[in-house]
Amino acid sequence: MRDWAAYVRERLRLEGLKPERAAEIVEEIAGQLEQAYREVLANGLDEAEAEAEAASHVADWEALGAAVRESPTARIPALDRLAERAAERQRRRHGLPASLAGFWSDFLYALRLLRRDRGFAAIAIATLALGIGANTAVFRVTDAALFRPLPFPHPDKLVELENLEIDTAGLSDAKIDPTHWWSAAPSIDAMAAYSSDDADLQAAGAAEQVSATLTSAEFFRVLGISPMLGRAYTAEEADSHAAVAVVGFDVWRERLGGAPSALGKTVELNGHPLEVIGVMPPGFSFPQGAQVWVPYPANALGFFSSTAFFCETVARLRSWGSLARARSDLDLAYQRILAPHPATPTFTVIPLHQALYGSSRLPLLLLLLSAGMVWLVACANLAGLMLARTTARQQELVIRAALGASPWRLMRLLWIETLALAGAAGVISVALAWGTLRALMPWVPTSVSTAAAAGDWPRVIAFVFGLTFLSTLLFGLVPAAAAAWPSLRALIEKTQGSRTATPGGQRARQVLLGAETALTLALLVAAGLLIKSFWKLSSQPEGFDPGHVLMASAPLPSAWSNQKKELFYSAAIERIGALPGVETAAAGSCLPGMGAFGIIDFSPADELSTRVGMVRCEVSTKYFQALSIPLLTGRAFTPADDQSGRNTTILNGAAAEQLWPGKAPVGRIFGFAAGKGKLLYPQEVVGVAASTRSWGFADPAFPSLYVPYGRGTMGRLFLLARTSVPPEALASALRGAVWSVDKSVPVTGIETLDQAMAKSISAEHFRAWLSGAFAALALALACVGIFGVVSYDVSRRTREIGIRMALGARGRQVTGMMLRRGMLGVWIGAAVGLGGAFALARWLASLLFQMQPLDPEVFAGAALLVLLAGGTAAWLPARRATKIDPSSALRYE
Amino acid sequence: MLRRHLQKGSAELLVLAMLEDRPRHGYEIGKQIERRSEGQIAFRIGSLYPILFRLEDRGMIRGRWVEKAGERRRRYYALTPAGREFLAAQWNTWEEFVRAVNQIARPRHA
Repeated sequence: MRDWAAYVRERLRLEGLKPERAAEIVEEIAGQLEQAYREVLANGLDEAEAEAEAASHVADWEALGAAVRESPTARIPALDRLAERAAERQRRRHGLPASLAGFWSDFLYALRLLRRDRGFAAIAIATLALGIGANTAVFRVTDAALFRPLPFPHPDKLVELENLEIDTAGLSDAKIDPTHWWSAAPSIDAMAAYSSDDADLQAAGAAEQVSATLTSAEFFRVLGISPMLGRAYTAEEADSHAAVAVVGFDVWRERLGGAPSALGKTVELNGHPLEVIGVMPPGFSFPQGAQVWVPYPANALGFFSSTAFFCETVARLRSWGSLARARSDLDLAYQRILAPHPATPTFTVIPLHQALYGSSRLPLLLLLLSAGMVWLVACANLAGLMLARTTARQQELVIRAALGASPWRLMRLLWIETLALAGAAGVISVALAWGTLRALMPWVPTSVSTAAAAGDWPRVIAFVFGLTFLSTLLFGLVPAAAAAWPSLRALIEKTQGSRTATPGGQRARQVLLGAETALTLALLVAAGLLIKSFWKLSSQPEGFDPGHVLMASAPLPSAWSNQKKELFYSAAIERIGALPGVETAAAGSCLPGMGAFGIIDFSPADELSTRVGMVRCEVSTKYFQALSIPLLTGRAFTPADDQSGRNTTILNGAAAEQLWPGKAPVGRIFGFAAGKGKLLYPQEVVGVAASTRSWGFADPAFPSLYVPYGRGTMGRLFLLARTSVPPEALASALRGAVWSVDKSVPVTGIETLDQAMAKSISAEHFRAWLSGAFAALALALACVGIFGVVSYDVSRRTREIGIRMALGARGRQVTGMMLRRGMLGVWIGAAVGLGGAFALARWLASLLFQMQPLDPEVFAGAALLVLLAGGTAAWLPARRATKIDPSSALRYE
Repeated sequence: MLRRHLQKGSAELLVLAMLEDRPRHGYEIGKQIERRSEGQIAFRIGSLYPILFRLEDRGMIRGRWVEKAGERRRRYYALTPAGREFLAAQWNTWEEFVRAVNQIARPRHA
């Protein structure tokens, strides 16, 4: 007889159906055909006829197959079919990916487990997201300054001349152009001078404050970046201060319509019309934040004082040039050009990257280190959690091992779970970092925030990936290895006996606790030091009243004569003083709380061997009144001081104290000690003003002398107005008052003195605040970790505690026992952490203001805080142990 | 359209009707219809099987494999409650149809 099943299988196409259902269908139809065949046979026909008759029952196999295949119940669900087809394709293509399929199924399994254990997953993801997020935000901020090369071609060949000081007396303008020296220095390819300031940009009918830079001609050539549209300015344009400008990509796109036709348009910078001749490519912004570049004669770019010339210069070395070679070349060039001038100019040549970011390197590294430590605490925390979890899963692991899973396979299973956790945390952390940065940016000091603005997200994302992966290795792989490899046989016995974890697991958890505590303590100490330092800094007596003072800067063209400058400032002060709401108007070349240039050594007439470095400030008569700087003794300037012909001066307290310690200074004479007992430039002290903080972070009261402005020299002055109304409201009135004297003078940097003061210590503020936040985060994470470990210990030893209590142990004894066990790691960690904190404190010593790095208060306070917080975190679950009811504890398990 | 629907419906109705008194296997259902219609209606396996399959999909009937000693196992079909309800409704439709045909056709022959 024919094999009817084979007959049906040959003809009926059943692809896409569940295999077991397809087999049933074949069997059923074959059975019916066979029955028809037998029936015909029984009616007396021969086999061939019977077969033909039975076969005639199904005329159209195609139609039958189609009808059956339509059945939704018999079909394989669409998703499974897809997966099956994909797996089939994979198999055909590569021949192996069983391991990959295994990876995927492990991943799905891990997801199911985590969904079941939502509490654990939430804590783990949140902890890790905080750790990675903090690092992501910090990396984003520090990347440009610490890790990335400058965005210029051959950035290693760019150098900056720093602290360039030349005695300018008797030198022609041409000779004090530092950018011309390089032609005599073979190792230097090109050099440019530049100077930046905030300026009002008026374009397409709207004004906006931008950072504008005056540069000498070679500026763009030095940096190696050409405009993407139009051209850079020529040497002639620079020397003649031509009314042209190159604008940044953002200004071009947002303010000038972003079309090539923007070239030739006119913008106004502080009221000066300039023709746009070039557009820089996107991302170009040098110096940091600059968006408009204007040609300027190099020799007019510096700040002049009576004895020195200061200027920012950037140079490009030739391909074979080195720092040392550039330095010696420039020395030779100086000698040749300045000869027979006797004075030796001073300068340093440093790589541009160091010049830009050198000073922020240590604080940024500190930031990175703090964030890294928070991440380590988070990982230690998670490792503890994972260890507890794998201990609880040992039974499952043992069964898997018994069914033939290798230790590698088990480890992969556990590691994939951590990968799933870390992946979720990584995604959240990017959002967290983004949000944090958005929220924080207003408080970030501009030097850091502009660098961060240049950071690019792809690098940040790569960083997150890296850190996430590293996290899984750190908190996942170690516990996974620990769980997968111990002698499984021993484990079986243990897990069958009781749920007590291995002593090894307990020890590992204590080590993790210790590590967390140590890291947290070190962070707390660092934060404590920075916070205390900032507190000291900001609670320094200021020596003046910055409230209700509006300030502005009005740089005057260098071509003006001193007399013209003096007349301008006098008129401007008068006009500002006449504004309604202004109580006192004044001007001064330096301001408290901000940097000052040109420290000069002076000596008392009666003691020429004493030298005191002092800042020389040119001020108007009402300067002290406008800033509310009290006069300690003597008198303020009067208009008569300008005409008296005597060189009258007012000292600050610090200067008086150093020149004549313990003596009354008024009426005494001081000046330059010029050898052979001669005193040049003698000054008579007519008064002593209170010392004011000079610049944010250095010595708070630098010796200063004040002279009436216009006495021979004429530096750039800040205009000041003490107001009876909120000072911000007078900004445009002040600008108007200055312009009523001369419309061509740019008025820049209008802000209140309060704002300027806050800005001068904003870096310290930010640093203290952020390290405090990191330390608090670490402390919170460590407390969660301690709480978790002690809770776990208590729950694991419920039975033992029950027995102890049944045998008469008091609640207090039980709590004490659990507390001692929990705190062991904390104590050891605190000891190790103090050691780490010592090293960290020494490292950040230079960031501290008037305090020793090994400040006992901070160290003791941080240690106490860690022990108290850790103790509380351990005590809460330990106390729960006493609530255990002995009878139910004995039934536990 | 109506005709096709009725034809299809009537084939399903016949199959369901065969299962009203007891479960039967596929071949038996076809034979039973042939016998009751005195050979007028013959269901071949090729056309009957899709009907069974469709009815089972729609939950009207349920198939179950039954093994008897010395025989191949066979799949027996039984009416489900839904099938029973459907059958009743189909009977009504069928009777209405027949009545309508009679009312239209009778006057001619009367």
